[in-house]
Amino acid sequence: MPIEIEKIEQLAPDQSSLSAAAKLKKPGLWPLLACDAAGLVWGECQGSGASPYRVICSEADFSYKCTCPSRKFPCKHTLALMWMRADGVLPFKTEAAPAWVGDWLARRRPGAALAKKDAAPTEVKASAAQAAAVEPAVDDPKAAARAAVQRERNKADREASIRAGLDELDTWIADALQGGLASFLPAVSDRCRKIAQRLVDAKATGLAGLVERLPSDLISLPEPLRSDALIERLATLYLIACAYRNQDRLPHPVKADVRQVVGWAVTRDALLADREALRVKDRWMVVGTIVEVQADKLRRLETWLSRLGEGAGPRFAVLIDFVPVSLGKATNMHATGEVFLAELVYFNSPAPLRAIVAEQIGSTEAGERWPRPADDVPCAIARLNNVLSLRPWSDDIPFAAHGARIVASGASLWVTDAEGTAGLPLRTDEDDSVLPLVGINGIDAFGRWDGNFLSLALCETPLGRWVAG
Amino acid sequence: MTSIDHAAAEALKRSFLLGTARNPIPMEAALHNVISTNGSGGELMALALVGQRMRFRRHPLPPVSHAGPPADDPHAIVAEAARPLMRRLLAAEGGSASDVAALVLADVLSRRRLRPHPFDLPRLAAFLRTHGDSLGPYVAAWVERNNENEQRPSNYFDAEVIDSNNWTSARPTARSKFIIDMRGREPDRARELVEASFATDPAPVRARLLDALTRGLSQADVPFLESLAKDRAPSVRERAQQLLKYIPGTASAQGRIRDLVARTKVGTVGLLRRRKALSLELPANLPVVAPASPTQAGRRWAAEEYAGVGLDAMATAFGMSVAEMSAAAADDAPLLALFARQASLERRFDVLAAIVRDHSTDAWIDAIPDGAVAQGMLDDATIEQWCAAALAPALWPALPSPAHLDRLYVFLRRPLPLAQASELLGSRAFAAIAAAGSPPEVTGPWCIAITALTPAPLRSQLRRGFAPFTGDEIARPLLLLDCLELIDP
Repeated sequence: MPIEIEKIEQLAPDQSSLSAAAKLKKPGLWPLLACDAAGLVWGECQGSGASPYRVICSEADFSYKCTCPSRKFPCKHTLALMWMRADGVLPFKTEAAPAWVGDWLARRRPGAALAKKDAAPTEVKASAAQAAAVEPAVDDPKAAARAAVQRERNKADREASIRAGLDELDTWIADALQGGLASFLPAVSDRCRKIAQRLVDAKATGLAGLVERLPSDLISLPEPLRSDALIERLATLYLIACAYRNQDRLPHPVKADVRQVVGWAVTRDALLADREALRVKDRWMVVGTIVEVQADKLRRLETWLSRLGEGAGPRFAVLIDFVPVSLGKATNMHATGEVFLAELVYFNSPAPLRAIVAEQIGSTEAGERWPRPADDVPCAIARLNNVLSLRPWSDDIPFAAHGARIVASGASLWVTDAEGTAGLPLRTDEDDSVLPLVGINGIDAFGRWDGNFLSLALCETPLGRWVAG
Repeated sequence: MTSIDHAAAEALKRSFLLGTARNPIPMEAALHNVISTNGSGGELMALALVGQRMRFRRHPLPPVSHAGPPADDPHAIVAEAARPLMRRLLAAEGGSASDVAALVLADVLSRRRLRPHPFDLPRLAAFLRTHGDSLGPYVAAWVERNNENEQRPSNYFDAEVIDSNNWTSARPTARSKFIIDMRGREPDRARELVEASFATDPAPVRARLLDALTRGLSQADVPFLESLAKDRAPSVRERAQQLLKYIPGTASAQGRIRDLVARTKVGTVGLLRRRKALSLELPANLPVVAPASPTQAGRRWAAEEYAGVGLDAMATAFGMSVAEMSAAAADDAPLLALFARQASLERRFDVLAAIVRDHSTDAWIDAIPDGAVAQGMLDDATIEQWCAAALAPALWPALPSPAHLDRLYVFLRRPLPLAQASELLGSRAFAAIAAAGSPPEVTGPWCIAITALTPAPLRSQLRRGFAPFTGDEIARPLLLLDCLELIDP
């Protein structure tokens, strides 16, 4: 899909970036402007430095990269490149992608990297990480063996460290129970900070993150719900610890999932190489986007996808990216309502949800109606329970139901079925964005259930599409 | 027993909350046959079981207090294509919900009996707080959803036709409009209705209703207005005093005419043809608030201080006719401003036209009455006459400032009549803003104000007029233009 001005406006972090980009739309500033048949566009923009900034963007999924040091994403150079492409005034030479474009592409798509490696085995690696991954196998088998042994030793050390951390977590929870959770609640921030640090030291970073989030999650709840929520969260932490200790007795997806929850990161390359990982190739619609700043100074970008095809397998997926807060404002690559064809690879889990895009095929489109979900509200609620049964430590669970309506009960809002036989409380925000849905019948709703509240993300209604935010 | 029942779960929760050290968990009673109650880790296992049980619990639906939209609304929802434009214009970064563009949009929506899409209401919150009152019952109910002071029944705004029987339960805007309309037909009856409802109305509504009485003021209103000198609200007392100023023959009017004569020097000018000249002595300590110039401050002061003193009364006091009086003040901007204002108030548009065309092309700036007084002039015929008399864009040496054009729109609350708008777009003053290369911070507001004043048939001509502008400053005016073309074709 060719880039459109509206999309550029949507991607721009602020108005000043657009204004700055407008000033860069001069052919004299761009010694190179080129593209290929696959929708890659690249150029070199002469900045204030000696060498020009190299800018790449993909028309297929609007991903981009620029070598400038700007903390805005996308930067003005990227916006200018997209803008010139959208204007169609300046000529873009159609040619084969140069090495630096190929390198960027390779990092995004390892398949492409391998193909490239085969084609040009002697080419110098522009990426240090890529070079490191390849060198030992080719150059020095002994060094590779030594590195493998060292890796195993590190892994064993970390396992021992994590288990010790889990024991500390047990003790901490037991202490909290003995002292009473009523007295624990007022000091929850302090108490959680300490054990979170111990878990970080024990290299159980995932678990540490769950503990760190606990105080803010509790504070975001109405006071009467906090003690129950604390019991649930401590119970979940203990459950994860138990599952980790007993991981050898668990089926592969559960084991892989619990290891990831505790802190064993699965890299993109490793997931793509995992033959057991679930792959689903289908059309996907973006049904929700979330940007949240985490306690560890990372901005968490979530893109919730709904599968449009009818095939077997999971109906939803969530793409999660992390960007350092220090890099400034960052927005999701996709906007709610966009549709694209892609192969997704799911992280191993008994209830697969988190995924990565292995390959996007074709362009991103918009304007399609979100298909009516198969479940009504009672069935959708039952499905939440199924997911919890399969994966008891689930936090946000996708919820999709047709024929819903939103009703008010005092100050709270609920999503119910037409008869009002079953329902879930809705998370409401200060600007009452959900309130206009009250009284509309026949809503097809998508949202995320966090155990206490449903956060609506997208609704198709007789009045048109409603999108959160 | 193979699972934890409700009573057991509650007992366990109680122990967890109070502390298992002092309130040991009832392992045997609660967890018999569920887990082994011997050995270590029993408390933690009990916690895990209770916690998981709680995660599957769903709260029953509470009684529904509200399942329908807040009000039936005859206003139609704006076209889908206009929604993103409205959001960008009013709510996006760089947008504004309180400038003249927002006011234009509110007026057009109100005139066309349209309302924003319900899903856009949260994003347009600032716009709706300012203008929601005129956008129909649905929007009004949305704006007032959290207003705990609102004592009216929730359906009070539903009445399409307001008459003297139900007007007291209508929305303040509708009540004010009803009184303005009735004042045009039956001024005494309108005053009686206002007088009767004053006891129960809150102060802001009382002040608003007083404003509505501005049209058709006469000696018959004096007793009621004088009785308000003891009103408990200062705003109402001030409004009443202001209205008394506009009634000829009152003690206040007599005192001001004496003051005006005392401040005005009558001299003669000219060598071959000697003629009388009037000049007003301004107070020495007249405050000048930037960006107004001392001249503008003087004009404003004169118009506000003496407006309400009739033209004929002033002419009599100076011993000349109204036409002679205007000619004598030709070199005194404050006096011309006063005469222009008074000519507006008295609807003596021939006098206003003569002042504008013979003496001061920008006298229209001072001829615009103050907010409350202006309300009485807002019928279509009067506005047409006023514009024809006061506005002569072809004679303007330069475009008035954006603030003055904004004030013109705020007074008219509609685009200019076709003749004046056409004259404006064809004027040298309009052409000069593109040629002069004005700074963007001025050009943008200028373009917005002119867009606001341009009627629908001339929008394409206006768009051509904007063609020389290429910078950011034109983005918002063009956005407003696009939006207006969609909702007010």
